[in-house]
Amino acid sequence: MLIFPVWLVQFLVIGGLALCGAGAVALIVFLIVDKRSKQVW
Amino acid sequence: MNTCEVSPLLAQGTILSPTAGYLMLAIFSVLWIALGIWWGRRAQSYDGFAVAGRNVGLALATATAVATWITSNTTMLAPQFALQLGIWGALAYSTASFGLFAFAPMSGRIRQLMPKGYTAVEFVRRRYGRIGSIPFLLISLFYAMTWLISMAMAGGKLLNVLSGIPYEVGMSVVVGVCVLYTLFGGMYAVIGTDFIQSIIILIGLVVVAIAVLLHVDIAEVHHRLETERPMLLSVLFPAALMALFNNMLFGFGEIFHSNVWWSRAFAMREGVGPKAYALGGLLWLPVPIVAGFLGLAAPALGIGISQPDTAGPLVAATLLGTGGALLVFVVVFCSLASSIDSLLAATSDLLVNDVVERSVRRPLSDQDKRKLSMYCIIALGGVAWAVAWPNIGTLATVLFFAGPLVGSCIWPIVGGLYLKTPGPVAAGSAMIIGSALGLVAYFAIGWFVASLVGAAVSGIVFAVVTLASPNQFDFSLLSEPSDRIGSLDESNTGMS
Repeated sequence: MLIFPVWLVQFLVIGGLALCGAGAVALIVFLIVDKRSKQVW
Repeated sequence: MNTCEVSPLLAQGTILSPTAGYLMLAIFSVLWIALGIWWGRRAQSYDGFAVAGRNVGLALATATAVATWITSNTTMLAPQFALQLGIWGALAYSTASFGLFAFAPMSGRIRQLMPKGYTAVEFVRRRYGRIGSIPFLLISLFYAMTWLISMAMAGGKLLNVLSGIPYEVGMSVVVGVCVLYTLFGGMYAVIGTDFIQSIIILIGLVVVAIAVLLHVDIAEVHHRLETERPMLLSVLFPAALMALFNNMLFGFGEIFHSNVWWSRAFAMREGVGPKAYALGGLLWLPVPIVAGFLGLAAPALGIGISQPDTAGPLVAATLLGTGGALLVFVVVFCSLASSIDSLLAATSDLLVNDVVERSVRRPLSDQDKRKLSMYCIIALGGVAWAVAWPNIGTLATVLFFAGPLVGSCIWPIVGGLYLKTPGPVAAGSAMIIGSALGLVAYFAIGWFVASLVGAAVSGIVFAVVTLASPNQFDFSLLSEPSDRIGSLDESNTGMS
């Protein structure tokens, strides 16, 4: 049976985790940028 | 994203004491309501209340796309999906983000065509007249109400499982809090709280996943699965592959037709929508994969899972103790609130603009619409609360009838936004025939083909009728003031 190799599972999980973390940081950075240019709302 | 129902959660023991649950519920209820009142100061006009002044920036716009699409199902059932369908299960769930990617350019087009628009039904009415708008309104209301009721039920069930809070109490508090802060702050409160909720959900997931990785190696999880449940690692897992395509189409249909997403497109500042939806999709994409990994890691961590949908909370509580349990409780509460508030706001817009204003046959004043919105939010919350109260499990499954219905709206929406030639008959017949045959497929074959059949049949009907009877729609009619278009769309003079 053809199975997902371990490196691909590692890539998916670590990549997903990094993207989630980067996403939270990016949202805060966007908010700071929007706030500075008075474009939050 | 609503890929599968919230199945009965009957964990043997809760991960949090009822006292801690009530305390967290009280803290976050007060926080959301206070923020609703705070932001509500901005929502004096109807434009402020319904579409947050049409000037939402990139940060809040991206966060609201992420938070709204993360329902309690995403955080609680992605681990179950992974446990039942393996790696493909988690990947299938994450394909729901494709809907956000696809909607990104559409949101820019919507904002450009209807700079003063409020709802998706308003677009369909102006674009296709009554023949298109009646089936579309019915589908929109059916989908919105079933999603709202299923989220209310999920709230009661999940808080009960996590902390032992009685179903009726948890469900009532979740619905009541969302109604209150949406009532005070309208779209300002919905989008503002979505920002905080999305940050909490993303950070919560990262913390729990890192805790898992500190206890067990991914290679170890892989080895354990390869030995004990190799099917979960299979590249050719038929059920999972079918789920992948069905979920993707269900996701497209849900996002393209739902006023939850259209109202946000109207609320975003010009030029922000495409970036916000694309970024939102990118940030949402890994959530089911990370949450799914919690489920796959449970056996390697020696955590016995009696109910697959409790895998995520059990893993968090086992590895992080009370702190982890509190974190899961907050993440779940945020996931629920971010979807319920969006549904209340977007569906009240539909009722005010597409039902009440059409019934009285005259444009309503700004203040009338503002007041009516508040009554509609209370009514929607009341109906959802009353239907969810008896906790009839089969009600949640009704949401999945919506798969073929929303799937049949994909082509009329996309074609209507970009092409001049599709007319009212093409749109109306595509939605009705696509929905009908999709429902037949749901009962005759199974849920995994219903959206596919609905979308395919609708696409064929839409294309054939458009080719047989092409129209020449004038897109400038979409930006006409509502009082003038009111008379135009009744008689369909917008189509030649």
